[in-house]
Amino acid sequence: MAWTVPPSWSTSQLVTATQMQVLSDDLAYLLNRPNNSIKRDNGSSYTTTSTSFTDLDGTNIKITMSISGSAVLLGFTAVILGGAAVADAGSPYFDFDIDGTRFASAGTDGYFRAGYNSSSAAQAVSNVSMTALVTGLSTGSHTFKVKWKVASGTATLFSGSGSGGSDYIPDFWAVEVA
Amino acid sequence: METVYETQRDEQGHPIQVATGKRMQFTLTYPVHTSALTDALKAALPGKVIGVNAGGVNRPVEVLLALTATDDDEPAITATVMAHDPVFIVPAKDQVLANGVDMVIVGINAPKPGAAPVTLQMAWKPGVQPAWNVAQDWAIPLTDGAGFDHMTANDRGTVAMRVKNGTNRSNEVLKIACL
Repeated sequence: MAWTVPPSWSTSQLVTATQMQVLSDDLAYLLNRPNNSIKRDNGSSYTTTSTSFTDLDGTNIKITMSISGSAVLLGFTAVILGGAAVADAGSPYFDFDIDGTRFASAGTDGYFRAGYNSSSAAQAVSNVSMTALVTGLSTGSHTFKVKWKVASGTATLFSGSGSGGSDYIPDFWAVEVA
Repeated sequence: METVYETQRDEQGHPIQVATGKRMQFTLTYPVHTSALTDALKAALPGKVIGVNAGGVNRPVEVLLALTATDDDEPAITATVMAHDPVFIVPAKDQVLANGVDMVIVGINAPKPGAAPVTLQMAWKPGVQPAWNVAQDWAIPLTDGAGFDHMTANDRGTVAMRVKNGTNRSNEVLKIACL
């Protein structure tokens, strides 16, 4: 059920059931705004060596949502294989994609960078946790995705490998907020 | 080969579609060694490969390409991907006591059906670089693409190991600290 602009009121106006139903429906809409959460169990980790932003998984880590307002809150949480022996090799950069446009498109390095352990040759897990308030959207359908890249090396993002120590589940979610 | 577009804004703020690269997708029944495949593709097509995106057997393997890649490059890309014979080295631990008794089990996973035999090269690493020129071969027997063996150490130091003739198979160097 979509949002309907509530009626305007005037003094001594006779309130009709139809008008009240609009308010009722809008309250119901506010309680259950468009939202989606994808907990992706890929059965295997994602890896990339791409040095330009590419979809993490353009099929399964993608949310298409129809909104009545203009703002959507996005979130993405995951665990990656973070540290690397050589400088920042394999430490990925992330961004959200909104209808084909990166959220932080003004920056070539995107919106978020996972940490890495520069002091140790041993690879270690690290977390990705990013949120963004996307404003200025038009009413209607929008598609949201997660993009990533590396400067060098290979990035690994865990997604349900089934093996202890790498069996983490990433979560991508979106909710209309205004 | 398909062109990848990104939506950007022109000077007036209007959205425009800008080509940022190209892409080829392959569906394989086995996981790829992403960095080894990337190196092989870059060697086959210098300056035209941006990287490889993979998600195990449940996702297509994406080869990300520069705009300079053309349809004429497709056969070389396809041949390189089809020739990819990944090998994953999985040591049970990264340290071993140098007492000749403690051991590290080294597992090998070569998931491509009909994978070629796997021989590791083991090099003692007294300095910064492993001495690959005097490396010792270590053949790992495979059964249905999987195999394992174990190593012990009598001296302290670091043992480095990699896949012999690892082009388009594995480019990783694993190190075992002997304590």
